[in-house]
Amino acid sequence: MPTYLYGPNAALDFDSGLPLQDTWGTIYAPSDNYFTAPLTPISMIGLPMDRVNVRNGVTESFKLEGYPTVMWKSADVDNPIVISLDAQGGDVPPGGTSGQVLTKNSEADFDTEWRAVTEYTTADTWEQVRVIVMADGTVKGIPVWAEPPVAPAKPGATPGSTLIWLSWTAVPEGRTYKLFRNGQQIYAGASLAYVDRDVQNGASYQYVVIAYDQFGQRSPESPLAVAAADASLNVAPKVQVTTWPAVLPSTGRGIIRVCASDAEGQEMLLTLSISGGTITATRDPSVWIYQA
Amino acid sequence: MATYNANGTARDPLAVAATASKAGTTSGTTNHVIRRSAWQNRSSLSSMQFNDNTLGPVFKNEGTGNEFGVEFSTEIAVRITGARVYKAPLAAGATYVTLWSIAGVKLGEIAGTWVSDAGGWRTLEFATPVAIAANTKYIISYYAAGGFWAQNDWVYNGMDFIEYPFHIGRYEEGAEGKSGASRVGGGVESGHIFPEIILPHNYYIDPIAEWDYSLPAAGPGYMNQFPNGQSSFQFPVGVFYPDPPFIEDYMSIGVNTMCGVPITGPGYREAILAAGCDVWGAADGETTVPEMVQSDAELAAHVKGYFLWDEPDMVHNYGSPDQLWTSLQEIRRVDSSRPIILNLGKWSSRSISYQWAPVGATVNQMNENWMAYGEIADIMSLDDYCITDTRMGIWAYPKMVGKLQQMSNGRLPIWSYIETCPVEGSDPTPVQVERCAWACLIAGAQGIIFFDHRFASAQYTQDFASLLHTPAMRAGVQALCAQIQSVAPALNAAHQDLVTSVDSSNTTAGPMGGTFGVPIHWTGRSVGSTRYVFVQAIRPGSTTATFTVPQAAGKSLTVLGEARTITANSSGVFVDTFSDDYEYHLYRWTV
Repeated sequence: MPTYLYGPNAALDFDSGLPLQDTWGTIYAPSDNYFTAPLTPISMIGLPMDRVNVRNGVTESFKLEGYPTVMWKSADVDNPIVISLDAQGGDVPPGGTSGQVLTKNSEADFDTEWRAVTEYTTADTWEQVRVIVMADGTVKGIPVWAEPPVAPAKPGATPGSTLIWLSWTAVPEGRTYKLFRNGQQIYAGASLAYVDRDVQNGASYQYVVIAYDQFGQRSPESPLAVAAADASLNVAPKVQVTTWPAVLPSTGRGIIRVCASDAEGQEMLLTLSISGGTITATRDPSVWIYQA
Repeated sequence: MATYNANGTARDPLAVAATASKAGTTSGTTNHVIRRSAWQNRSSLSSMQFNDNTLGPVFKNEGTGNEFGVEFSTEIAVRITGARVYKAPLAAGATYVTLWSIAGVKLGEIAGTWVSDAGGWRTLEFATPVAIAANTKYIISYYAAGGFWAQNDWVYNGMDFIEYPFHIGRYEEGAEGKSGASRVGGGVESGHIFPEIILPHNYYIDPIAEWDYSLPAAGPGYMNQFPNGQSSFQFPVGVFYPDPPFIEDYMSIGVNTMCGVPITGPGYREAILAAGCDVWGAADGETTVPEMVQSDAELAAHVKGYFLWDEPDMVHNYGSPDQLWTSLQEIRRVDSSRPIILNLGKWSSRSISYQWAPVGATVNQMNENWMAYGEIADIMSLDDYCITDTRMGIWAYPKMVGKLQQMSNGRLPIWSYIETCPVEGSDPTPVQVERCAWACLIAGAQGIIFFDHRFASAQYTQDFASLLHTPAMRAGVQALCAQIQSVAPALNAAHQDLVTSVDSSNTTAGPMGGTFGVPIHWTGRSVGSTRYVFVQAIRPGSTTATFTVPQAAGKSLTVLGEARTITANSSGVFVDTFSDDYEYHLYRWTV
């Protein structure tokens, strides 16, 4: 017997910290055999229900080809989500085919509103699936054993001039991380480092990191790190003058480059002067044409 | 000689500055002569030939001798040295190549004598090159001895033919009569006369120009200009835009350089650090990449340059030269210690397109863009995946190198893209990939980049690390990478004219790209007292080649990778066979 998940408030932004609605969560089966299960979120990290272990009806024929990383996203936050966990085989609601997501709550809509699940990854053979609803309303089926990551350690926050270098340590099962400055997300990705350039010298900033596992489950926040950019920490650029050819020609023309780098990655103004010969600027701000 | 002292300053937004200088005494010259024919670097002789089934000239014979020519101009003042002529096999007797003013005044002429043979390209050059003015029409023609000539119809009917600095106007019929394109003499028995009759056909006469150029050409040590841009490896062999999970595996088989990598994307930083590879970061028109590189010392050690733009000359990713300049300037202001590479699309190599950009651009406009692109970056490449294309082949890859050298006037090193998976109708074997790589290296490529994104199709599943998952290709590429590194010092050395002559026995193989027979291309290199000559049959088919290499006189040459030696006679002459399509040999000896 296939099973369907019904979440009327699935599109709530859990990351916003808003409490979930009491009415959250109904699981019902086809053939009009509705039943309701109270679903209580275990935390405010995008897990809206507590271990909803949905056993598929026909074990052998049910094989999710990986976890659906994005099964469906509601375009209308007021619309509920209904998701079929019966990816292959088994009973299928009227009008639908297996491996599809229903977008309406009404039974009547079952006939017409099925949409294909389009994204799968590597093959898997889970027999038990935990259903989670992401902060953006996306519904996923993930292995029941997948626990959310633990909180990352306090990130390193090293101030410089006009920037703050941030780094953090990977946590087990952590695949991606989000970095927040004063509560606003400023980075999302797999890197363990980030340079925050959107800072003012003299101002203090607070940073936390949140880890996400491969299924998008969120960890608690890391401890807070605080840093203040400081103009006195400014590092001078490095510069080197090079030529091509290595020895400038007596006749013909040569290339002179002002090769500069800056540990803070700041934009630099490059200039060149010469004694002996003439130079002509080019559209490349680091290149001049030399003629003896 | 003169002394100079160049003083550079870099000043950051807080007005903190650093200065450096380089002093020296001038020496030598960068003046050199650029020599080029209208067709030599074009991988398709014309749009007509690419789009129909004509892969080479059609030979005609309608009586006794006649004059066949082409009207052309050049964008700059040049010297015309003569012309290449595609000789019809049965053409025999006296011939002439003549440069005419548009009014029919002879400006230069060279006589020659042909005999009946297999035909093919012949070069006839004037005793003294003839200076011509820019943007002025001239006609160059040859006398088809015996009335046998090579021809393709309607080649110049559709569009102008532009290969810098040459411009051949398209054939037009207007109220004032016909204009442009090819010229023929007064009749089939008119003899060696000024060709006045205007026609749209291609008669296979290819003017050769030379001109002085004063900016330095690329060569060994070029990358030393960039303090943070030198390869960590002896020779860069890379892959385009790999996904993070595969970077370490690519590196494990010798693919040492990841090119066009969005290093700010998820997983890249850690994958790069784990692999220890070199990286050319995709700039994507933003400063975030160089900013990230500059402020991340661990990552910066691996980033050797920036990938400016991918295929700006194509509709899907168009970038005008001005846009590219803006992008380059943004990178340079943050990091001018690393070089910038620009990759063009396939049409620049063929000088034809229905996909060029901007939409609606003519070949004339696009040619201006292509030449402008050649002024922007520090290294250039283009991707035209055609190893097994029915109308193209490995022979086209050296022309791609030549075309990019043409676009940059020889100023830039060239990297070559080679497909290692099915793409755009090409589906090479590992051996073909290997031979294609050598075709590029012999032509002077200073880097090899594999394209390994196998897209989903009815025949294939998607795999963006195709060669890693295809055992034969993986093994082949791994062996190729090791082979390239084993001769990297030679590949990094300047070309030397060690071969004074080479004759190929096969002059009769099927037409391909307008050339009959199996010609040999080659390069010579010196590293200390060791000499290298790398040779390859650069059309499909087998042949036997006779080489004259004076520095090899009386020497035993090691044929690298083949467990054999070959001995040159006292004049440096030796013979070798090429039994398979695009077979190559690598000779090494000590002087």
